[in-house]
Amino acid sequence: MTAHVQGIASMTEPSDADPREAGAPLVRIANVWKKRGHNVVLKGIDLDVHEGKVVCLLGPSGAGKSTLLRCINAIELPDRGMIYVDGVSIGCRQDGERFVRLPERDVAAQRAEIGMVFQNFNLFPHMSVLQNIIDAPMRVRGESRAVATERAHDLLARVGLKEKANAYPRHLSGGQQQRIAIARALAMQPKLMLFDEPTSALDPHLTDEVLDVMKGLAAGGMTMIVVTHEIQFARNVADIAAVMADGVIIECGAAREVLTRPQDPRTRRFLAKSLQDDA
Amino acid sequence: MPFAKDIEMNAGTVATGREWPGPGSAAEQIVDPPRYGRWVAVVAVAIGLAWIAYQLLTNPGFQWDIVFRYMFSAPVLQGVAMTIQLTVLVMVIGIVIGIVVALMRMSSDPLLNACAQGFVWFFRGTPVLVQLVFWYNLAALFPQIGLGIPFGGPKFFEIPATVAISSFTAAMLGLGLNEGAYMAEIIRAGLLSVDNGQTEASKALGHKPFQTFRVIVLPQAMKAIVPPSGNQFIGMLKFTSIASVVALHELMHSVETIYNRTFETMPLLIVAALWYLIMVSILSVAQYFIERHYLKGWQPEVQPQLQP
Repeated sequence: MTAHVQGIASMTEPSDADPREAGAPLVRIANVWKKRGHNVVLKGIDLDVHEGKVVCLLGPSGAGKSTLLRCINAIELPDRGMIYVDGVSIGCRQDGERFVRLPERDVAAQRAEIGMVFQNFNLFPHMSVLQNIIDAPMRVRGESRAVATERAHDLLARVGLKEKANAYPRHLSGGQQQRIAIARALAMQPKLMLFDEPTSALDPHLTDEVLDVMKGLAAGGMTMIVVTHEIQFARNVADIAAVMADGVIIECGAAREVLTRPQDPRTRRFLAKSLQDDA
Repeated sequence: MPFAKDIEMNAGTVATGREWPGPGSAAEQIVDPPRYGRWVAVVAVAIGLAWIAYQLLTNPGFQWDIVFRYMFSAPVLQGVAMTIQLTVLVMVIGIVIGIVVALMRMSSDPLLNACAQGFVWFFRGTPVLVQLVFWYNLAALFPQIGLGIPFGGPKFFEIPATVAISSFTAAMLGLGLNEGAYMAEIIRAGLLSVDNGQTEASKALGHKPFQTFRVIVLPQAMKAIVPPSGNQFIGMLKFTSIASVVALHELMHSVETIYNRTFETMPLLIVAALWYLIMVSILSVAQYFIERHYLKGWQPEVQPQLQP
């Protein structure tokens, strides 16, 4: 439909200070196609994300942003093309020219390295906040309860919910739940964090407390891929903005550039409409 | 506006240093309307209970002395023990088969799915009575039961079916397989009630499939599984009496044997009813505590009590 725009992270902020900039990208999305029924939702996506960068995926609903994000930790699998995180092909192992799907048990080990935050928080309602955070480090990583608990308390302090360790998710506000969900993902000490519309289910005044936590994370150098409708957040925090429409990245580049001087008319229309909704 | 201040208060933060309004407070009191109908109902229920008590105490047909003589007699107690043993075993078999079949039905593998559907179709679709008698008479179909290569291959070991299938094993297999089919559907309903986002979040944290099932999905599904399972358990306790057709000496069969000999039908039926009531009561209490355990995290937060 349209020529895909290659997202090249290194074209933004070519700083000599970061030596990793020159190296291989942490996430390489290479020509990813995905079909759902007869509907083609991803049409040959290419995107590189370097370590320490914050990438915002923007675009109208149905553009395939969330699907792309869910492919990165193999919650969904692409039909063609490959995603590499830290050089590892996700959900597959290479066998000569072809890729063979890995059994779920092996995919689980890959997912443990990638944190994910969901639109609906998806905290485990039958576990206390502390249990939510320490379960995976103990069960998946084999950490001792003491080590996991100590880190959990640090993380809770970082998201500003130190006193909620023994509360149950149901008794927390949406904003608090989402901050706990971020702490839970961070407890696994991931290389990469994925955010799937983390503030879409929140009231406007609860949105900011979650965005603040995410800003703190970005400032700390975490590599983040964020699907969001928060244009303001993307403009202020993201290094790279990738705008998607109809399963294709239509525009990709330095966030400030893309979001203030968009080249594609569809990006312009999308931004105009989003900013209008915000007002 | 006398209330302007209060309205402002509601919109703002909670006022500090305010006491709960006492009897002389300006805040209007709210009371329930009188419920005359309830008093009429109380009287009607009281009369009904009094009549039942009167009958129980004065009607000679109940023959309480005979009831108490048999209540703790050896054959009745053996029957009770057999009923408990059979119920527990049948339910354990049912739950294990239920979990396996429910997981098979929910898997994306078409073969597993078809096998599970076939199992549920067959064992839900044939009467338990037929299944029981079938297992009991298995020797008619297969005189020898053994392990080996089918279609005429060598046998590793073999025992006569009449030895392998006692009335107890027949009852256990018949009831257990049938219960497995029903439990499978109950467990499947419970698993379906858990939001898919829970599975995704668990996967995203790196849990392996079995960990996701055991730690995240099953505990939440239990909320929906326990009440109908309690129903099944209590139903099964009484339903084991059907095993009397294969001459198993459970409670009902023991009682029958006695009153067929002594013709003290009514008091012995009361003995059986009392024992079933006692066992069901114990199960109901157990169910309450199990339900409470799996409701952890779902109860409303305990609010600080305002009223003294």
